[in-house]
Amino acid sequence: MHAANTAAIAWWIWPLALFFVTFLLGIVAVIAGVGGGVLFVPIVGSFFPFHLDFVRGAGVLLALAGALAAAPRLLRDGLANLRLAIPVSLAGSLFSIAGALASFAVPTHALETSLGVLILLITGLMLLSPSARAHAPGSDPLAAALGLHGSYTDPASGERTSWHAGRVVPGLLAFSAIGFVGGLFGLGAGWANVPAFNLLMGVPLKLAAGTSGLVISVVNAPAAWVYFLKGSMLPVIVAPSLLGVMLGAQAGARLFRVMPARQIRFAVIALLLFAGVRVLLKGLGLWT
Amino acid sequence: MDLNQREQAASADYARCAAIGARVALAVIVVELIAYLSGALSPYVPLKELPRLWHMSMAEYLAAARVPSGWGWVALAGRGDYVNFIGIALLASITVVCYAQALRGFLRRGERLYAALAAAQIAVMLLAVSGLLNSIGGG
Repeated sequence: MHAANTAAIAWWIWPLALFFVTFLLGIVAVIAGVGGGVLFVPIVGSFFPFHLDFVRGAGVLLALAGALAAAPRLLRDGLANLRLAIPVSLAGSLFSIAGALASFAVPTHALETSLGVLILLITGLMLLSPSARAHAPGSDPLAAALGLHGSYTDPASGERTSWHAGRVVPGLLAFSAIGFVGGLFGLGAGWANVPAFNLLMGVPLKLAAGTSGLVISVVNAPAAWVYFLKGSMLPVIVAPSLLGVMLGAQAGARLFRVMPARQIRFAVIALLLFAGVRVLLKGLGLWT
Repeated sequence: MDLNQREQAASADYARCAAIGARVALAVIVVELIAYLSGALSPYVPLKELPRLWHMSMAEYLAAARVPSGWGWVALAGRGDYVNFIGIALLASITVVCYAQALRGFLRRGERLYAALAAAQIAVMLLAVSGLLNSIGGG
């Protein structure tokens, strides 16, 4: 949005609008099963007057807060595994710092263009159904040394599932790349963590999804510090967004049973598609 | 203690730490936001000035608003805008505190490999917290 068009609007309209938009994002994120951060950065970056530097700073913190809020329940329910999260989070953290630092050396239009392309790719990924069954990996001595196996009980079905993770080195490489991208754009990376755990390392989908949240809460923490100390967090953007997403997520959890999840998921995909195109065209200078 | 029991013990400690930390940090952020937007604490950068500044890049904003980067914000923590940074710093610190607790558990249970990984993670986080990387990457 052009600065000249927005300067005449009273300052308080924007944090208020941000609160309402992030409240809605919090609701649809829960119902559609996507992270708030991945919706926040392209949508707020496209339709609010804030520079992408500040939107990314808020985005990384938003993803961190959401993941931290969910982690205790997932750990207690056995749907997130600390042992599985620790090695991949270390790789992801190192590269999330690198991504966050690199982002300040990249021109804004190049960052917007690549963010637009990434969001369109994520939209495509969301259209593919994830596999409920993991592809069983072969034996992996590193996985054995790390004790990456166990069992968990699905609270919904009461079914007990045994799991063995494998392909640890390719997994570490994948989480390094995901960490870099997350740090670069200020996104949570559930959209990439879950396929990396599930399709690459052979972790069952439910455990992959739960542990992904735990990984985000670790990987985004050092990236958040980089953004914070660089100076790209504006309280007037961060605080209303955190509150909006938190309250929205709580409302979303209540509405989960009564809302048509499939339709909302498609609405989110359509919204992401629009925001992805918008931010891509903004980066290319075709829609400022 | 078998693997599942060790995992449960480590997970329970970590979950307790994350739950308490997240609740405290978010409560602090709410109180600080009210103090900021209500004008109870006067901001360093006036709220009315923000629409002129927030469309600038971070580097332009820091220069135009004459605000510090790195740990310079601590000196301004009594102002309405910078008081919010206490809650943000708390939120971003929860993971390192929980990892320190997990490290203690791993050492107690003799899990040396995971103790080393947790220690390495803490070192990475402290490097980010230190601000030593602030000069890298422009901005």
